[in-house]
Amino acid sequence: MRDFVELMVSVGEAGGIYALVALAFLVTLRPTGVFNFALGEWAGLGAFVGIAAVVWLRLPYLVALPLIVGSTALVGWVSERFTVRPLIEHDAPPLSPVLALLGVMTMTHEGIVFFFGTSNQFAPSPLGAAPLQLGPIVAPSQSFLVIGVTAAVFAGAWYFFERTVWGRAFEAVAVDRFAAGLVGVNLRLTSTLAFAAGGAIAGLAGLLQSPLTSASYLMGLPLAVKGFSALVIGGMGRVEGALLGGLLLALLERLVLRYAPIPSGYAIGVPLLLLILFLLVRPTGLLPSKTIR
Amino acid sequence: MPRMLLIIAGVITVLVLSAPARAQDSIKIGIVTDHTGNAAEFAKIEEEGLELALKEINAAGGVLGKKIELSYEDDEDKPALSATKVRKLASSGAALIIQLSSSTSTQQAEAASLETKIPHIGANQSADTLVTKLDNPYFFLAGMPGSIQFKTLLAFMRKQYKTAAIFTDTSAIAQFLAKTFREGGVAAGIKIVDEETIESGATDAIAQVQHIRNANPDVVLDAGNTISESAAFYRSYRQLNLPYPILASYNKSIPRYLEVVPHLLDGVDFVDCFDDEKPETKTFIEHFKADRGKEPFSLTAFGYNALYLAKDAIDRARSADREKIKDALANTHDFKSVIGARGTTLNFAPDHRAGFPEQGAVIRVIENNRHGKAIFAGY
Repeated sequence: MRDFVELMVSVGEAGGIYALVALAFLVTLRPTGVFNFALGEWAGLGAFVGIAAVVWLRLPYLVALPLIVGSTALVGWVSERFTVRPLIEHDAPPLSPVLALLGVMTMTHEGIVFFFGTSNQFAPSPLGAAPLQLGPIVAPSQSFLVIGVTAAVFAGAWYFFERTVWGRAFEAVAVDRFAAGLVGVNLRLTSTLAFAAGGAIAGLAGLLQSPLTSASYLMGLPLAVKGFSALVIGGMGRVEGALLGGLLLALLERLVLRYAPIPSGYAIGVPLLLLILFLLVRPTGLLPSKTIR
Repeated sequence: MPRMLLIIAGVITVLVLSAPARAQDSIKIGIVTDHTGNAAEFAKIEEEGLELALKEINAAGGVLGKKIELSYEDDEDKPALSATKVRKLASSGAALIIQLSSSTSTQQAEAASLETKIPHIGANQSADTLVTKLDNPYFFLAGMPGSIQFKTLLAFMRKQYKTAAIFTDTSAIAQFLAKTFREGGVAAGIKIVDEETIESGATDAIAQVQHIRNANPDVVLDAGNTISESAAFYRSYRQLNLPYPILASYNKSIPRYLEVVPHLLDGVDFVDCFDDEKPETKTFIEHFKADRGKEPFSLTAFGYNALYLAKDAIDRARSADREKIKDALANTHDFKSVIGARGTTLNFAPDHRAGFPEQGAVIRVIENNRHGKAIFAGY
């Protein structure tokens, strides 16, 4: 029982981060149809901007947070404005924006190396280093913070998409971009906001992870892989799918690592193997998108 | 206009003629280092030691009455580029080369030093194969070979432990270390009861640490290399409050681990080549602290050591001639090095080009988030 409780905290912590990156993929993908693999590096950027703000400039966390999330949102806005939008407006093939964003991914990675170097950086938790006890559960305060922030972000995202006019506009563009334009939805603004929101959420995910492992210039790619896997598992059409996918991926990883009768060196690959099998059985993910509901 | 052209031509002539004169005033030593690749973090620290040695040597009159001039080349820790940089430095008139990048790059660079017949010192590398794979009489390894690290580590273990668990990550170095721990442990009669790997990008290692808890070993051997994954492991290990002592490889001598997870490594024993009770090392520590205002550690000492080793060889060669320097290096006896346990010295011979002393590795303990004293030496 003790092992299981410890594992569930670990699932909540890792699954929350995977889910946030999956949500960043989702909010970018839905209105634009573009897979943005630069999001992993933007998460890494969020971690390093966090260190610049909190450690170097010694800003209080609450002051630093909007600056950190705003900076990665700005990177998202600039990327959309100067790489994705010109390609879409010039009727480039569908894969062209994806390739352009791979270029943005490389530039972001090299930018992190240039400005912050290749050394791992210590990232303090806003709640301090001491563990917290909630009932029978004792875990680092950062674990509880990740779980809480993830829950809040997903509640906000769900409310935005389901209950606001802007959220409806995003969905309308996702369902039929041409028709949404005809009824007056501002396609350019929707696309820009989608990239900025994706950048902000990815930056937040990186910021939350950095106190757990330190900030590293190599942290972007694994985050992109996990987040994208979570998105595929949960389904690419729903906010709830991103959350479900993230938690399920983390749960699967930990259950296999802990209970499968194979060495951990081999167990690491099992969840991705299961993911492939899962896709063969259910290619649309657990929760189908609204376009095919 | 013609007068202006004449002045320009005159200035250029003076500059060109003065260049060899300036060059003759100094002896150039080529430094192949890594400023942008995977070994950049470590090479940067070694350069601090190298620069201190340069400052001290030149302030004391240089070598053979000439100043030492360092010429840096960034190999990005890429093997092919590393060889190119050695060729470039050889053709630019360097008397010898000191390499600060990884074993892999150095291995490739050796082909170029053999081809261009330039003395080549590996300052910090640990691969034993650097002196066995290629018969290169121009290459000398001043770093601590992996085989010596493990003999010392196993000798320390054998005295106290009967069972061990291994923690590692997916990097090539960590996998190599884990294999060496496994094979060495078994050969030393230590039973390996569990082996755990943490994947790249993992946020924690709770499941792996639970396995270790269930295996109940006498000691945990830390073969981890990548800093993020080591941070995740130590955070999980302390979170679950496991009581087993941890014995780590030479990787944990790099202070960056202490910076990214403060105090989580307290109590960990690790292999090192830096004994702060050794008189030469004590002097180096004082000099470095006075010059830089911070404490040095083994990587800093490797850079410092390599330049003094080069100076010693040039002094004994009484010439900047590469063949004579190579012969002098190959006859280095009892070089008082700032690396290695107290009472040990560096020694090279034509058929013994790994000069680190066999009994030179030490075991140190991390105390209060700092590298503490050496508690064991040799094997």
